[in-house]
Amino acid sequence: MDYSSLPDDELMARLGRRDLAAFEALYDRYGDLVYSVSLRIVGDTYAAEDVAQDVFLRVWRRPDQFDVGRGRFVTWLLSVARNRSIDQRRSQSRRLRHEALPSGDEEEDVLPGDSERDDPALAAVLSEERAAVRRAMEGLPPEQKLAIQLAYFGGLTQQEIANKLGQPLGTVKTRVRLAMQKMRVALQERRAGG
Amino acid sequence: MTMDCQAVREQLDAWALGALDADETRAIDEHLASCDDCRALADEARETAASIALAVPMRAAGATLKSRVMASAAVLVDIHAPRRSRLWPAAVAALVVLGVGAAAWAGAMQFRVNDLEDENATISADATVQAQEFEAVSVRQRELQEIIETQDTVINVVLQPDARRTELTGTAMAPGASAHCVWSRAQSLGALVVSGLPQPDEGEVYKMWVVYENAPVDAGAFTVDERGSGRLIMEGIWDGGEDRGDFVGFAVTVEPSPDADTPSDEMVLASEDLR
Repeated sequence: MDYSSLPDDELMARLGRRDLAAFEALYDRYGDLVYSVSLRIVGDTYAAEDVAQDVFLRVWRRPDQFDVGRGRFVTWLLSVARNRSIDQRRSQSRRLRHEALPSGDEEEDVLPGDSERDDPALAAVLSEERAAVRRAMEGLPPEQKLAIQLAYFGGLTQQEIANKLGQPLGTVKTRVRLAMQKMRVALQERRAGG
Repeated sequence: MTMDCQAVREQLDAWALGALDADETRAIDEHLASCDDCRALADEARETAASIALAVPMRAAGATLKSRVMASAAVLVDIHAPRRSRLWPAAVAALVVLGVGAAAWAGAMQFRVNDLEDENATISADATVQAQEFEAVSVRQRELQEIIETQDTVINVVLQPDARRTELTGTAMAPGASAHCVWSRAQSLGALVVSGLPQPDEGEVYKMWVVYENAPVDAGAFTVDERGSGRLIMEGIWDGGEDRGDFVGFAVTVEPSPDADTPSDEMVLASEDLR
């Protein structure tokens, strides 16, 4: 059977039956994406690989934690990857503080640089959807984009973002809400456009 | 703290981004647990938030990550396989019964001396059963320890630059059997995990062989549990100086003794020719 052509939900159903080939197909499909997200957040290749391994083994151990009625598998997978990466990032920060080493700017280093491009060999992964998200992000006013990036990739609360930027909390909340609304509309338009 | 739908919906975007503090997050979670309408909006917000991850530039993970993930998953199949009996709860219950029973017996002695022998016999019988259950738990503990040691070896192997994974399939003698072997020639180390093998006859064991053109090399003996699962850590399997010819693959045979130094004809698992 050609697992690479099966949809995510079908592969996840097979994981419930302990089908290693289905698990391998999911890894082949999303392994680099999960690693890339983790790398953006933790900033270290070894730690990012550890996180990616954790994420996939969690998927393997507990496929029942994915509820097919509550959204797409890739959404759930990326949420797991993001949360696990943030935990790792906070753990690293605590360690750095404990060891009294200079940690640099822990928030700024999660922001993607404008010049960064995909590894060409991997550009095809969810290419249309990723392009749409990038366009939507690039269309945001810089301060709104910064607010959601600091929250999502930096793991900061709105209060922490306000403190960091020296802005009132209400301003940060407004930026987050507006940015998310625009992202939502952009994604809905993409889906409506097929 | 309870929240109404309007207050929750105003915070759902920040919630989906993980940008609320712990108390706020907990309040939203509690509300979502009992509000279908807000939960649907929360799922949508989560979808939007997750899409932000798609903006990251794609990077290729290291070449060994997939091997690590797959080898660990293969080993976890064994660890998480359902057991036929629930020994731990049984053992805990047995300990509670034993403890309570002993205390009750001590108190009763003062008033029921004449019944002592009968009660003692009953308690002894119970204790025998409990000891047997305890022994079963100990056996399972040892099994788990072996599984963990195998997993450690697998992880050690797959971290090697030359790590390879080889599937073994059941022969006509054991068509339902399968196995995988992860191995590193540089470390002269490997781990074998098998499933679906029938129990060998009394006194017989399974043996793993590293097959060369000119001679097979003994890689160790193993047994299987009641589900037909077994595992073997193989160390020093590429040691030795004589010229055995090219490496061909792996095979598992049934042997009358763990000390058998040449394989019998009863082959149950074999890999492809890896030359």
